[in-house]
Amino acid sequence: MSHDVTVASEDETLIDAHLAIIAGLQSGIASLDEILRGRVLRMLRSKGVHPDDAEEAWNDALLAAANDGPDLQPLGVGLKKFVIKVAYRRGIDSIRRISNRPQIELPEELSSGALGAGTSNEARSRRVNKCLEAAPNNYAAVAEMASRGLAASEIATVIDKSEGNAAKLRSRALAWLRRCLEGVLDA
Amino acid sequence: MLDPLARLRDETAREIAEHSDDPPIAPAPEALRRLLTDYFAEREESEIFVIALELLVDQDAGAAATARRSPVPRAPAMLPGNVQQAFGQPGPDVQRGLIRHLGLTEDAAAMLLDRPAAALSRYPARRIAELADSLRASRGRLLRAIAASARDGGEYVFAYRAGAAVDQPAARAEGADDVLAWGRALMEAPNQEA
Repeated sequence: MSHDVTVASEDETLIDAHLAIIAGLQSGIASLDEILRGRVLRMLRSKGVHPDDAEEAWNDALLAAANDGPDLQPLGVGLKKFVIKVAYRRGIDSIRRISNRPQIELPEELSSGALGAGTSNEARSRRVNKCLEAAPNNYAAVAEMASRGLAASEIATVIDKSEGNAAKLRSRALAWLRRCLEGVLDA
Repeated sequence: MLDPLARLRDETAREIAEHSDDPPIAPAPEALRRLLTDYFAEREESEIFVIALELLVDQDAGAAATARRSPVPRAPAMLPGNVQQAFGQPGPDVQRGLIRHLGLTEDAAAMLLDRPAAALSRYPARRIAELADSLRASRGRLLRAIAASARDGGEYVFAYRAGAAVDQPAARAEGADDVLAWGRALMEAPNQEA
């Protein structure tokens, strides 16, 4: 009961914040920051994002909300989903940036093979895409969650089942995709 | 019609029940994990994934807000525009829309085109929403233009408050709250074009 009241009150506050952002009022951004900042930062840190990068990701998300607020729907909920998505993407990008350093430059004669590799990657992507479209919806969803870094405990929360069941479901989803991608993985 | 999360949970419950006695499955090979990670890294998150993130963020909704704050970015400055600019459509199209949806005469519609966008807020939000939809204009962008047009010297001074009906006179608005209330009605009005 009190949780429902809290959720309803948060929804209303988000709608007010969204309207203020659309109208260009600074109070909208401040309100959005107050509601979601702590939770989003904790989520990013749980994904392994460095605290400084998490702060930067959140500030980028607020800036994006200020720019794109008028185009987000529905009021409140659309804004919330958008900032979470942007902050998550920026946070994951920061992890990739760190893990990709230092980059090695290929000598020119070797980089001439890049076109062929690109074509091959595109073909693999198309196969993955086909398999995900053919997969049961929940397999595709769980495969995406696992591949984007959600742990079994987090998948369990999303599907509202135990962590053990979430881990089994993830295994079955990946096994299904492995069969569908036979040939691609061996190549 | 189930929402995406309810549908996912429903399918998963059925799937788990069907496979409850299956033997354990060997871990997925690293090559598959890498292939999928690379694939998803280049794509937009799906709707259900964004819902999942939202759910995870909401998990600790009761936790205390963090104490440390960093500077909040400011919204970009906005230049006030006129009614036509606020809709972002050619003048003749907006003029026809004003005539049709607000019941204005041709001359009155032509004059309104050049008035500050804030003038639109003296009309019922529902009518303006219908007009925006018919012109395929973004209601959010329209509201931003109206609010920016009503701003004066850094303070929000809204020149108009909507009358209850088209033929009722508008009153001077008290401040930002009036335009936000009007804006909410604009944003939440049913879309007749959909």
